[in-house]
Amino acid sequence: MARIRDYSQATDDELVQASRARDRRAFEELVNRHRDTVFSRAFSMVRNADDALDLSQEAWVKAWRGLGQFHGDSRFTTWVTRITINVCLDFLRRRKRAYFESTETLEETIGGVEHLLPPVEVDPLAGLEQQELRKQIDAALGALSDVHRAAVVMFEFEGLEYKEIAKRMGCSIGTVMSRLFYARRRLAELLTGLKEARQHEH
Amino acid sequence: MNTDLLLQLQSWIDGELSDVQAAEMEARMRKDPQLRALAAELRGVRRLLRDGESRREPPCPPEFYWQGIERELGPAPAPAEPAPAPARRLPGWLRVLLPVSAGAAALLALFLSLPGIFSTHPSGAYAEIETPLADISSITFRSETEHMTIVWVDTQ
Repeated sequence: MARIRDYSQATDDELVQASRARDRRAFEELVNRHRDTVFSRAFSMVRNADDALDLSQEAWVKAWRGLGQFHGDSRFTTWVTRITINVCLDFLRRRKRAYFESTETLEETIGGVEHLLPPVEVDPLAGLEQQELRKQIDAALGALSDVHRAAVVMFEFEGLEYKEIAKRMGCSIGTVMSRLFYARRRLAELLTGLKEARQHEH
Repeated sequence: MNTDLLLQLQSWIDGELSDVQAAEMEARMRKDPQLRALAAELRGVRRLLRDGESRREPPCPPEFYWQGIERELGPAPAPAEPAPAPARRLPGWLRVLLPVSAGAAALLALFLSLPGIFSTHPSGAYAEIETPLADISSITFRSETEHMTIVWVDTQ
């Protein structure tokens, strides 16, 4: 393998190849390039900057140790964010908040979803700037419980299918569907509320 | 609407139904305005979330972020040793003379350092030797990637 002369100009593939040959500088360059993506995904999962910092770093360490298992079937960033998701799920399990999550979890399992409010109109073209929109979505995601948010993050941001999510969360596909459904309905409710609150402000 | 139907509607939106199931769901939706309204809501949320993840930066400078990772990676592998230059064989007389010269130099240094020898102090008394070590603090920084150690000595 040719040695990399200019790390900043190398492609991700070249850096991955070099990292597999234990080239620390190549790996450092990958970390620098994709640090924000990995941190953002960890934050989406755990909603705390300090925890997300530790967990994203832990994900990078696991990535370094597991580089031999990366065969280039997906993009490198996809591979690292999947590791991040697993690290965060382990963290959430350790935190055990998921098990104490209350009436929300109870409702989804006993079929409380159909008793939610009537459907609301969620119009993404409501004149919000993208940045403002993200802020609103961020606030709404922050209001979800760990298990509901994790399901949404894995499906919508990570692009995982129901069965993949079920495998990672250690639950049935039916539970994943139920969690997603509840989370989406709650998000619709929250986002409509946030939109109305914003309209009242102006 | 029962829970199974609601979850099936969601599966249809998520593209997780078979063609036959999807056709059944579409037929059902044509007859049921409530189901259509719910489908619109779920689709709306999906549209919002499509590009809705906030991008954040870690709450520390990039070099600290990397150092936190590097610490866990353990020591960097040793760099490949450069091929040694072919050693020139010293002549036999020099090979004998070198250790002897080194020994003589060490003896000379010891002799010169004895008190009173070549003392320039007018009274012939011993010059005071400062030992400032107690007032010195130092910080050592080791970079595994650069293979470099920096020692910061603070005399304040």
